[in-house]
Amino acid sequence: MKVLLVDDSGVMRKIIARGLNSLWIDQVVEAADGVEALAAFGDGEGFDLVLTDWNMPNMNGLELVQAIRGAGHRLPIMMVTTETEKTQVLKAIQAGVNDYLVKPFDQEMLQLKLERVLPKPQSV
Amino acid sequence: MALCIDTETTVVDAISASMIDVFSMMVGEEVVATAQHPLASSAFSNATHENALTIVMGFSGDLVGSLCLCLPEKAALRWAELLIEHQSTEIDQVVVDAASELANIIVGGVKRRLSDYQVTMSLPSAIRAGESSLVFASNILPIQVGYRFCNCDLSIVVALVRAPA
Repeated sequence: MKVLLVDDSGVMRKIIARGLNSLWIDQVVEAADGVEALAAFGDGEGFDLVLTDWNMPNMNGLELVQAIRGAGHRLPIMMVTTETEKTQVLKAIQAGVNDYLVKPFDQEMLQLKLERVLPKPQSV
Repeated sequence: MALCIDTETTVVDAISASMIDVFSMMVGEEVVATAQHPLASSAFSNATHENALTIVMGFSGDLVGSLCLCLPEKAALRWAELLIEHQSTEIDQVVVDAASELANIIVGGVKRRLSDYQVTMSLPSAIRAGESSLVFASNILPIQVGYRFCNCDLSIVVALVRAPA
């Protein structure tokens, strides 16, 4: 399974990628902002999940979600953020986010959230 | 100008709760509060360079000012090692990034806990300086809250005031 991981913090990308690689994810493609993410995403071929931060330069996570959904892609998208303010959460849901991973989180929470949006394949 | 005692208590409690969450969930370590007192007003005349790192996060909205995460070198290096297994003998860019992320997540947790206040956080700014180098405008009465994790000390300086009505 292939995940697009978007966060302007190299530290957070390292933490999340390490967590994903210890689960049933085969490949993690990283991007530092929404613009890089869209370039990496292309036509979405092969991607099973997008994990994105909210606040990023150039194109933020909400704009990225809107761009992906606007292009007709229906793959699950999860926001990884400290932001939990109600109006912001509603914006994210309306944009097409499937779930939220709130920082701080541990490996158990990452796995739980992943199971909800991208269940482990039966063969693993 | 100081925060009223109720607000000060609320903010400090939110910081401590957020610290406990961050350290236990992100690195599986305990953190304990060690001390709380006003920041020494003599900082301006006694400012010294310390081999340390301070991450400043601005607040706006109902509470205005900043929270400053002050990490001596030992604490900064240890945090980076715990978080992403980064081994270094000095504060490098990776250590700065790890400390910035720590501040970001702590303050995010503080904001969630201050649900009665509408506040917005800035992006973190990193300064190579210690708590004794921090100075504030004379209308701010900062509070310093100390913490300890893995035999490392750090502190958070709360320099906030209620926004004018």
